[in-house]
Amino acid sequence: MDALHLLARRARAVLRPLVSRRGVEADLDEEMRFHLDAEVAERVRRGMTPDAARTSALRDFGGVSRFKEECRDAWGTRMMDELSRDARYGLRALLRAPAFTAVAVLTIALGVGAATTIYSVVQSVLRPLPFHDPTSLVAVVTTYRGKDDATSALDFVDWRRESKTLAGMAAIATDAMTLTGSGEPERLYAATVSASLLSMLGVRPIAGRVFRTGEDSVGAARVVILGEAVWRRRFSSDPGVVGRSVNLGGEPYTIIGVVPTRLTYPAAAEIYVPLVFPTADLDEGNRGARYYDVVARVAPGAMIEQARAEMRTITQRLASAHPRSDEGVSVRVAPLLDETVGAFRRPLLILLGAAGVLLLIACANVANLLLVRAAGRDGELAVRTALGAGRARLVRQLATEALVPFLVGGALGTAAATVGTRWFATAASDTVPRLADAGVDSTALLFALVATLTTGVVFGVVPALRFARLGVSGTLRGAGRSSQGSIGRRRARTAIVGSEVALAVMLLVVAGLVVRSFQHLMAVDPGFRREGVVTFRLDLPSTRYGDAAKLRAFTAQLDDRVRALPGVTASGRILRAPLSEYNFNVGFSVDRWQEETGTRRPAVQVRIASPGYFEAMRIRLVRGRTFTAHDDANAPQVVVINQAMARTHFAGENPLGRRVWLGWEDDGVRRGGEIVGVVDDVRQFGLDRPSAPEMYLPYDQTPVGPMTVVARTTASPDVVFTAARAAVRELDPDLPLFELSTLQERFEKSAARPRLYMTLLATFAGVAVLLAAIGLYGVVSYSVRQQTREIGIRLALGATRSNVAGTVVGQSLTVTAVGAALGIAGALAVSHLLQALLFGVSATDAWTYSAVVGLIALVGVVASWVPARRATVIDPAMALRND
Amino acid sequence: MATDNTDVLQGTLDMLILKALSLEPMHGWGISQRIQQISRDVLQINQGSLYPALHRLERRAWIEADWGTSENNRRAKYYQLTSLGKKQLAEERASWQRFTLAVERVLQTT
Repeated sequence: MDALHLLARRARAVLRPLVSRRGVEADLDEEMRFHLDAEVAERVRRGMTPDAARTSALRDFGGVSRFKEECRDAWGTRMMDELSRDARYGLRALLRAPAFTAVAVLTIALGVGAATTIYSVVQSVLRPLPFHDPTSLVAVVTTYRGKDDATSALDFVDWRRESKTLAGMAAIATDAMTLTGSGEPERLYAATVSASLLSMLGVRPIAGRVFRTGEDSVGAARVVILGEAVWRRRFSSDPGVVGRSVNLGGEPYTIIGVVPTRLTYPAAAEIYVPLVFPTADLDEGNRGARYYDVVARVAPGAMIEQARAEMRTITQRLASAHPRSDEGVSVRVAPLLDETVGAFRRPLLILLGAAGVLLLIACANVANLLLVRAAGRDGELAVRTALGAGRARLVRQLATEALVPFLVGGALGTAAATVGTRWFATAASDTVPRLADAGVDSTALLFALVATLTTGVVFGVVPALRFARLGVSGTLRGAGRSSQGSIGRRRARTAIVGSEVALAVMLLVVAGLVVRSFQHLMAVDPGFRREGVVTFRLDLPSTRYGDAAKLRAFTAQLDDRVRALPGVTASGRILRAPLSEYNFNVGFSVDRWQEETGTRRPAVQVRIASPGYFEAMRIRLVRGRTFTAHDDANAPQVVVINQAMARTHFAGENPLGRRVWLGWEDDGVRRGGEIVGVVDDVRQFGLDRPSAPEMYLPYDQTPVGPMTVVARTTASPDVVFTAARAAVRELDPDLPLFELSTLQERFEKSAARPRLYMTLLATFAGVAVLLAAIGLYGVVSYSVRQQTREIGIRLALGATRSNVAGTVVGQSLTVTAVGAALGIAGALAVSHLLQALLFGVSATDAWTYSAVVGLIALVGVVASWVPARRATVIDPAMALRND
Repeated sequence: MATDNTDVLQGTLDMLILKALSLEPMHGWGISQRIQQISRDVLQINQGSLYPALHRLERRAWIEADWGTSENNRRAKYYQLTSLGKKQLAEERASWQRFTLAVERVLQTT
């Protein structure tokens, strides 16, 4: 207590004069006045007249301003005065050297801006989830032979019943529902969730309430919770919307609440409806039908390890009780945050590392620049010392001067970080989660500012200290010649520039590998020609298109309309378009259906295509034929398979004429049929994912509600989309078109994430190389200036101009070579961390490493070219006389 | 810059101020009066050194200042000793005694 009090007192005594200068001046005046009056009163008491007393007291008191000045000294305000004078002086000195100032300020701004931006983004993505007690939230994930899979309804029901360590366990399926009624029909992304989900997460609604227990049981009233965005867009933020009824997929639902966007889980959900398991899902034969995600909260008092052990035990029991569906099935319990952002952690940390390296290079560059400047100022400092400036005073002045570019650069860097973070959040909102409300992280900003500032002060002051140690006379006498001090300084600068080169090389290698990966990615043949193809999706609701005949009737009309759209040369339909990451995996048997296989049956990705699809997409036919209009409901069932399936399941055989049967029955008809064709592989799950075995069924033999229309057209996409909307409205006014895009856009979107990483890393590497080049240039040109005399002598003794230039460039290349060697070693040491970002390139790709070495050697030559030229034009006579 | 000579004197003044304040909190004028009285007018404290010294001591947290009301009802700045100041006074006193004792010894030997 006493110590605290003392500290506060002391702080006040020290700080008050600095903060409130006028206040303490007034206090001082009043104190003086009081003293004088007391003195006068005392003298009057001793018998003087008031006037005489005042005159004599004033005389004895002496010069007030002098000791006021001494009091000010005691406060330390003189230091402030000098500081501001130094800052002004520093600013003037900087304006006299605009190139130095510009480079220093920009370097600091770049370093601070880049590092802070990336850190802020990483912070935003990896920050805790916005829910109640977020660390106890977990994802419960079914695994099959070590690979993640979704969870079946029956497994979920058993888990929920038996688990003691997990509370509020909720299943989530994603669905799309069409909102009709007021205005255009709109397709909404609906999360169908267990009633416990939102209350378990602790979501507080904006209006109304969240689901109650039992609202997800069979026969419960149809209720819906709106997401904030839909509420604002479609219901103009009306809080009175709670209790109203809306039409979703042709059924009336009562709105019971509105939840804020910030608290949306899963992130894409636009509305929530309770998940009522279809009776089929709860049939023991469908324990293997897995399409639910499961989240839960670790119960109070339990640990995640206990939950893990318990869930494993439960799942093991299920696996042995139901070997047909659950053999090889296990479970994984992971923190929900890891599950949400896990895939982004590594790439983001790599970006953060790169930004950190950039900050380091920026600091090195500024240090280097300050050393160059200090070298040029020995003379000035010596003169000032000779004229009586104190050493402490000079050191302080140099530090203040070093500070000025940091204040300007820091301010610019802060602005850059603000803009950069916003830019990143916008540019990457589709590719990286949790960026919506990303803002500059103040801790990161502070760190970056302090890091650069420390560099500035250290490298601004150290030369001054060294100078002070060296003394005045030595410097004055040795002015312009390489003295002891400047040799040490040159060594320091060479070391700094060498490290800059090393760090830049590391960044270059990383960027080079990522760029090469991206090239490989872009060179991947997706299996279709993407130019000039538009796509949009439709989903015929089962309420109005309940049977196959209705579906076929609609699609026949639709095909005619699509063919008539502007510029369309070919068109077709597919469930679903490539690169959709659509998973429709079904087990199959070859030749005849075997009910019991003893082991899990092989599975294949199933797609449902109309006859025109393959031609519209220009998917290459390898053998046999694709579908025709004759493959209809009355014709024998046929299928087309892809090359991957032919390779995997018919290796060395002719698959044509063989029959495959799927674990999928409709109205007593087993789906599958005779293989009539083999087509080329198409990338379904992303350009970097190899094609899985795949089987196409003809639409008319297996009609389904959801479909993607693809049309190859010569007209502009917008024209086609407008016409398509009108055409579909004529067929069915309540049917929304959604996901209207071109294949090119889909293609680019699937590469958006690697493109983003590549862009950033390449930018960082580019800036790093630029900074290293500036550093090299500084070191070489300075050493040329220092060696003017030596070069002059060499020229006088008959060295050729090219000898001299060679020496200078050689110096630069030596530094570059050492730096590059260190950088390559460093890159090799960290390259294994990069694996997550690489595609088709090894982390030790020789081509990349050689290219980087070549590039940095080029930089070494270019950076020393100008100083080398300068060295060759030195006039020996002048050089020697000047000294 | 201060010379060594004034440092000694300054140190002595600091000690006298601390000693004066160890009796009771006082304003600047009171301090000068008190030292003058006790030393029977031998030690005259010049205001020009008194106030800088007071502000210096305050900065070192040996004394602290508060505005109060004087005997004749005027606003006056009162200084008082802090616990740190008490410790400082004790130290200065001890070293002063060592010093005078040493000087005394030197003077007595002839």
